[in-house]
Amino acid sequence: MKKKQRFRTWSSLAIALVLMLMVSACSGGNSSNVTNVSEATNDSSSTNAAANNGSDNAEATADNTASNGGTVEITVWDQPNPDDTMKSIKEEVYADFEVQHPNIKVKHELMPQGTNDREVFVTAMAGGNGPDAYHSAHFPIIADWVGQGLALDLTPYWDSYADKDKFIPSSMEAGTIDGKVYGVPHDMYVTGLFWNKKMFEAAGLDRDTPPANWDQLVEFGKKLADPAKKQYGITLLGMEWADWWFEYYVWQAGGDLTHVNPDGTVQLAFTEEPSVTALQFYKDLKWKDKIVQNNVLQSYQDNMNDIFQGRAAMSNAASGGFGDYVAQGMDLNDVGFAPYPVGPSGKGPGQIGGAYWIINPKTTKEKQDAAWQYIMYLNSKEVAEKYLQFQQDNGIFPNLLSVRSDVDPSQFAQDISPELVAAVNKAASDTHLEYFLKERLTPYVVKAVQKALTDEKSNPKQLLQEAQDAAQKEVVDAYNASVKK
Amino acid sequence: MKAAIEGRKPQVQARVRPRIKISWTAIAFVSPAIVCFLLFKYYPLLQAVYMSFFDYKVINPPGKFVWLDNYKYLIHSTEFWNAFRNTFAFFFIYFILTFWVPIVQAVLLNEIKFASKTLRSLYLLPTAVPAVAGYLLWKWLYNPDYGLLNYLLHFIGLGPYGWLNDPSMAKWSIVLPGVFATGMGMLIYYSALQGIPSENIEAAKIDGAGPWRRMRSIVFPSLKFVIGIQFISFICGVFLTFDPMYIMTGGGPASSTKTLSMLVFNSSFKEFRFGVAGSISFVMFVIIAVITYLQIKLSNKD
Amino acid sequence: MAGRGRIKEKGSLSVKIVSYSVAIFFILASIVPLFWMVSSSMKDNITIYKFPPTWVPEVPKSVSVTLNYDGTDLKKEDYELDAMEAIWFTWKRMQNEAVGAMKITGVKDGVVVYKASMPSYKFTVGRSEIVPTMVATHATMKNKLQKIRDRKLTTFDYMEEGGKYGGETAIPSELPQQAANALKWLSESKVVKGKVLTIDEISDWKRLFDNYIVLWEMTGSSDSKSTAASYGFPHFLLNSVFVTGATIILQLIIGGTAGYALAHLMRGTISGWLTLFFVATIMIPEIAILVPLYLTMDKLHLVNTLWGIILPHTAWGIVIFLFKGFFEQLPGELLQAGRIDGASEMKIFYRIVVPMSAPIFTVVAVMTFIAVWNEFLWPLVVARTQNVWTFTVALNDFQQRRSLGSNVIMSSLVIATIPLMIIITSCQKLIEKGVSFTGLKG
Repeated sequence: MKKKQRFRTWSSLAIALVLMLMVSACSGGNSSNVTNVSEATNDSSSTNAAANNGSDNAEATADNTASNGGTVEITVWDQPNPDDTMKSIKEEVYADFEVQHPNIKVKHELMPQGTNDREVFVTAMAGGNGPDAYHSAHFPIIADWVGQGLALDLTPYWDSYADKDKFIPSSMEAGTIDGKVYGVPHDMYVTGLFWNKKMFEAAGLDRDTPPANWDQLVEFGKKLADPAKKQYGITLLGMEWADWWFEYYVWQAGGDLTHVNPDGTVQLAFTEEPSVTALQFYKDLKWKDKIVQNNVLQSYQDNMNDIFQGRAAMSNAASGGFGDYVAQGMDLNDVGFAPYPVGPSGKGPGQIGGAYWIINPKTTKEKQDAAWQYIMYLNSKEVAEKYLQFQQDNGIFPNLLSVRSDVDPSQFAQDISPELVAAVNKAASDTHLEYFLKERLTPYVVKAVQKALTDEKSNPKQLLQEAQDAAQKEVVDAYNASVKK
Repeated sequence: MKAAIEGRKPQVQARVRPRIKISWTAIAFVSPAIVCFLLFKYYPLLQAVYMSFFDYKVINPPGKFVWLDNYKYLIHSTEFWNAFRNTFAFFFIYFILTFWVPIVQAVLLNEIKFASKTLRSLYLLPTAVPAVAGYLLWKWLYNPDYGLLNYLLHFIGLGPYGWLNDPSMAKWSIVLPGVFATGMGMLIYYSALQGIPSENIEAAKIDGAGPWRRMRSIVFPSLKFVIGIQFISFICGVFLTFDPMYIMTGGGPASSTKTLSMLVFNSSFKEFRFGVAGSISFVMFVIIAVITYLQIKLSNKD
Repeated sequence: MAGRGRIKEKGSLSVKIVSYSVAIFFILASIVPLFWMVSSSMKDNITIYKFPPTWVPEVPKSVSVTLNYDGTDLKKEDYELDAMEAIWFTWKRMQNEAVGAMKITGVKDGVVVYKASMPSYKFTVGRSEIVPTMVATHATMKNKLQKIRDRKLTTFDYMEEGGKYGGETAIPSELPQQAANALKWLSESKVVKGKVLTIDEISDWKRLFDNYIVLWEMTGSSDSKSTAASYGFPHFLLNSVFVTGATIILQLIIGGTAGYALAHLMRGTISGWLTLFFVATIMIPEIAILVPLYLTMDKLHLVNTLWGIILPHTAWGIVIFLFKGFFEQLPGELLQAGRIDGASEMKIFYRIVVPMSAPIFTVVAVMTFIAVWNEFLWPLVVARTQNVWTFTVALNDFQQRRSLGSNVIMSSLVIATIPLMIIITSCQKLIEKGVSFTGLKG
């Protein structure tokens, strides 16, 4: 008897303590920011069903909430960084939105910085603290996120969207899955070869002629490399994202890292001829020709620093990145951009990349509607042109590729050499999406690439064979099984 | 560990000791700790085991029940076995490179009378660099292009080395900074040495034992107990090391520095396969528990 | 016997030599990187990449220019615009060179009309907003003028009745590199109206510390007016201080009381089992419960709060173990005496036990300080928003930031070292005392 009583007092004490902890913790933290998760999830289960019925128009519901007199507050991770050159115009546009939509209040929060934005987003979503709308669902990751249940099916909204035909088709490709639209294109870029014209000139090369093929790349690279000055020909990306730049070389060699079969299953192509040729070439750049950086594993940021400070003469570059180049002290007149040098296949396609707006499937229907309103506004022609105009007025280099066909950035780029604009358009004429299932296969490809770059004696064919065997067994078999089901 | 032994000891004493009533104070004193431990240790541990049986979906938990599939996956996963091997390789390298350093430092410092306090302060100084800062600093020192280390080594005719860029050296390079941050460990051994009764030393002197022999026959053996204790925390510490790999190499090159800890982090926060992460976690827990158990067994024998 | 003096003992010399050389080797080897860290933190973003590395940072050079406005007819605003263009546009061209400061003196008809100057940290802080590109036109500078004034980036002193100009009036024939480049850009410039009268370079040691100022100002609260508050390094340091402080206090209270209860307030069996309950958690690897712990904190609404970082630290088995071990050694008579006097257990604890137990409280405090201050993984996971980052998370992030050069990162490392350095040097005695206790107890 006594024992039981004791136990009861114990447990009641324990409960009291937990409560105390929670109360103190909440009042200590920013309790106002904490959204009531349980409430949100309860609501969403019912509202999701409504969304799936799909017939009700977004506008109508937005009006409903307005007539109810309620204001919807949504959270979006798009607060500009303090050193964002576009800060003032963004804040102006955000303010305009709230004027035009008095029933929607947008809470702008800082997007996670650095290279771990994806991790931050997913953990926040897992915890129910994710944003209602998010504009950084990168092309290769969105399919995975849809599978994880992180992105709302936007098809009902999309079907009634007046501007839906205004988005260029290549920007819609990755975000449309099984005929359903999950993402609204936010921005996009095309990649190509950057070269530093000043360094070309100093090395006795023609400042306006980039290498046209692999042989020239090596030939030019040897002339540009100067170990005494810590200067080298072309940057490689050997860190955790090594597969990102490596795939370009595979394309140049005429292949890809994976193939998608008509039934949706995946076939690995690591050991196919082009992949092996590409890795052998990659390895030669490092060990035989010695025209890349010594520190092949250096971070993306270190690569960029080498470019900005004139240590790297050539690099992969994205059309959206020239603004950074100039912001970091490069003279735009020294920036050259062209489609990639072609490989044995005679091709050198650029990669199309970019990011989508997605909406949180776990939030309430009202918030989803409001988020859609917000996305439509920020993706409108007016806002896009407002940004471009601001960039022109302030001498900021624009992204030359627009997701909307009715917005032409080159119109707002009068100070920019037509040559550069033409180069971007040329690169955009032959493009490629990143290899399929990249988000799951990355570790296997990266391992092989890193090994080739760090071990002179390694055998590319064998490395790729090992990678393929492991990936087949651990990823692809399961994936294909799930597709067939 | 040691507590597990002690935990039994009072059982015998209890009969002898006057019976103390369990009072409200006792409950009030001990329950905050119990709540914290349940909440932040035991519950998450059970949760990890629970998750390991699911194809865990964070958005719609818990996802599909897959029974032992995650464990089966581990057995066939090259990455897992690679990480497993790396973890033990690291253990070995840490042992060779760092474990003995503070012992030697302390034993030798014990012979120094002049400026001993200053030397102790200087030993302690590098401990002030926060670990993360230290790793960032070393990463920079290792840089094959403008790092200090290759530059210094070329004066004595060595190098240049790839350090973190070389799969065969990367593990050693990750451990190397640990050799020069042993201040705390040194201090532990040093203060243990201060506890040696001076009569023992004097007696040995009279017996004609020179300083080297005294070091071997008296000073070093007296550290045995502390070394044992330190070894346990060394095992756990090394087994769970995460920060230097995450900061210096991210697990590369070619997965040569990917440990089980990194694998848990990557599978959960990079690949979002929380079920797999749960199963690796559980495996790690079991390994640590077994090691600790063996350790207790062994020290019981002594 | 007397012949066996300490000094003459065989082998004693070799022991001494070996002991000192080992100590000196390890100390030197660990202090060289520290020295290099401090030295690099004072370098500019160019020399830090120099090879062979330089040991002592070069003293930054200020470029000082005199512009001549003879034959022009400008008003105060025009002078200001011209000075800003001369400073900002020229500097932008030289962004990747080591310039410590730029000073402009405007002269008209032999009389000084204005002085303007800017140190390098102001340029670093303001450049992304003021000169995002190399487009150098009056229009863009007019756009930015108000911002320069508001943020006090460049000083501009207009002199109504400036004194006679008494400096050089000719450009030196041999110019140091920075000055030569500045001269080149200024003479080529189509916007700057003043003509270069003379130009020079002066060493300015004060600019050695600009990296630290950049660190302080870069993400700082310079525009706290906007709701878009951002966080600087001081904020992250404060977070760390709060987290560490709160953890220590909680551990001392929770661990201390529990340890005491286990040692003196409970029957042996229960105490034994409870001790096992606490201490067995040492076997649970932190990484193994990372994810569920995150989900737990989320259920408690503690993700992205400082308490989310702090609270899991209240469950360290080793702390309870240490406390229990220490309290068990306390003389039982004292406690018994207190009980006989009729004092409550609570009173005994606070009046008798706590004052006697300063060593163990110090040990736990110092141990906790070092562990929590250094902690990286847990804050990385649970503190996903900037406002609750600890400095370790921030340091890791700084590496990826375009706006922070490696030199600024080095200075952040130095700053992060200082608090622990203070604790360690000022409490060395306490630490040694504490360490001897932990070392023996495990």
